[in-house]
Amino acid sequence: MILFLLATLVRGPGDVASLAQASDAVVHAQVVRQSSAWGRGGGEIFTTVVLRTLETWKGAPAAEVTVLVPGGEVGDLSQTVQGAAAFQDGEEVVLFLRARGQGVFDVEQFALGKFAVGAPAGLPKRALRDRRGLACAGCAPGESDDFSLDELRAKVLGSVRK
Amino acid sequence: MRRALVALAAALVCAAPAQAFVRSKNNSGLHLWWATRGHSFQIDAQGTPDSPSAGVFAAIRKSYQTWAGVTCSDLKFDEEPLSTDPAARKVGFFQGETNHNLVFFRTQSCKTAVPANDPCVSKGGCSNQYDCWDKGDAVIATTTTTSTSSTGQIQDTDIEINDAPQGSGSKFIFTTVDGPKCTLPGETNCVSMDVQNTITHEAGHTLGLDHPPDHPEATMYATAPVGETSKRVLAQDDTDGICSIYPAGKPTVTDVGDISIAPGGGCGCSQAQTGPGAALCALLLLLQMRRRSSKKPQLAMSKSVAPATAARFQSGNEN
Repeated sequence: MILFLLATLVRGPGDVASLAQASDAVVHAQVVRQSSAWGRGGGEIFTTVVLRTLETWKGAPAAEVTVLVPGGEVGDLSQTVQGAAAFQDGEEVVLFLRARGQGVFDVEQFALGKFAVGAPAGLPKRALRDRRGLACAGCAPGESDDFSLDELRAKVLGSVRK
Repeated sequence: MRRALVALAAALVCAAPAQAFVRSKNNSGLHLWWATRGHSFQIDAQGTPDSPSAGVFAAIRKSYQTWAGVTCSDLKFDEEPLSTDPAARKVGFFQGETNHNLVFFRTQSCKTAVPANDPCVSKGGCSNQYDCWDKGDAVIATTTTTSTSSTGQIQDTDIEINDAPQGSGSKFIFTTVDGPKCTLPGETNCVSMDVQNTITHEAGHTLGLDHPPDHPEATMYATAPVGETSKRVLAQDDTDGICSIYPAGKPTVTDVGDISIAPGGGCGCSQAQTGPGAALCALLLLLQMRRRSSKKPQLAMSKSVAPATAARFQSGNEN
């Protein structure tokens, strides 16, 4: 069944192959710093996230990548945009990115384009996607949000080579 | 024996019951709430080129009226006059100004409206500066909520809908008819993206509700079949949620701490053990089964799935 969404609604598909093909860049990276500020047009808060690149799976390799996400905190004001990707300091991630211009990227399809990487002690790293806050039109029910990091890498590289 | 007990404990912790309504939180982790019972809203007069404005505006009004009709609460939504000022087509919060809770359709893409060298490309804010959709072709609608970080009190909330032609030339079509469902691209006089279905759901967000993972019948559930109109009507879970925050004749339930007033003892604050969270629970269980340790289970996710995925790894991340 084709689905479409409510809330922050995004259009699928949201599977890894489709995301990889739609993205300008795919990186495995770690958050170095992030800061929030009012956007140029006023009213909206944006968070600029700078990440150290660990691996580049698609796009031109660069030591750092800068990502702009809607929402954030400035002073005692908090702005949330449902379904937007959110980051933690030091967080290790895999990101599917769309170029905005001026060397800055958006996360493709909001939180669908972000996998958090980590591992319970003693186990291999896994990449997990949190799609709460999103509704997806056209996302297939079987789209996985949970891969080993090696499996995700292989899927992305396989899709990019096609 | 100890290993079995540890595994059992992990299983008990990870196996959460079906999840009722969920309250939204701000970036500081505090639940969102209005200091008033309901809030005003304002519709932008431009509407959408997809459907006659009278029908679209009526559908938006009905969406708010649906929430106002919940009898266990006492919400009220005053409509401000239609906004006819193009300069007012903005999302977010403007300090020192009167802020309107706007509902509007963006009808052009920032990809075509914004010069490549404009600073808003790297700093953000193109959408308000150029009145364009800047959240990507694949995003259909968003709710932007501004709150006081330290309390969760909502100051402003705006609903922005992607009605802009995309790179491919196609666009989302917003409709107000009752049926039948559209089945083909370009089909007319049928339900595609139903405005009332969508705004009723979005209005729940503006009030501080998030998606309930286990209640597909709820208006606040995240997905719906193409052409659906059933979310125009609230389900029990929706009314439970809204009445837990804004109970009729009683104080608004604000943070800090869990709420525990849902009928049947459910808690609107905890998160369901589904999706990635459930997968990690399974991993943790497996881990506990494998390790001959006398330690208590390493339950990074034991109390509930943490708001951020990263938190799920906190106790076990090797980095």
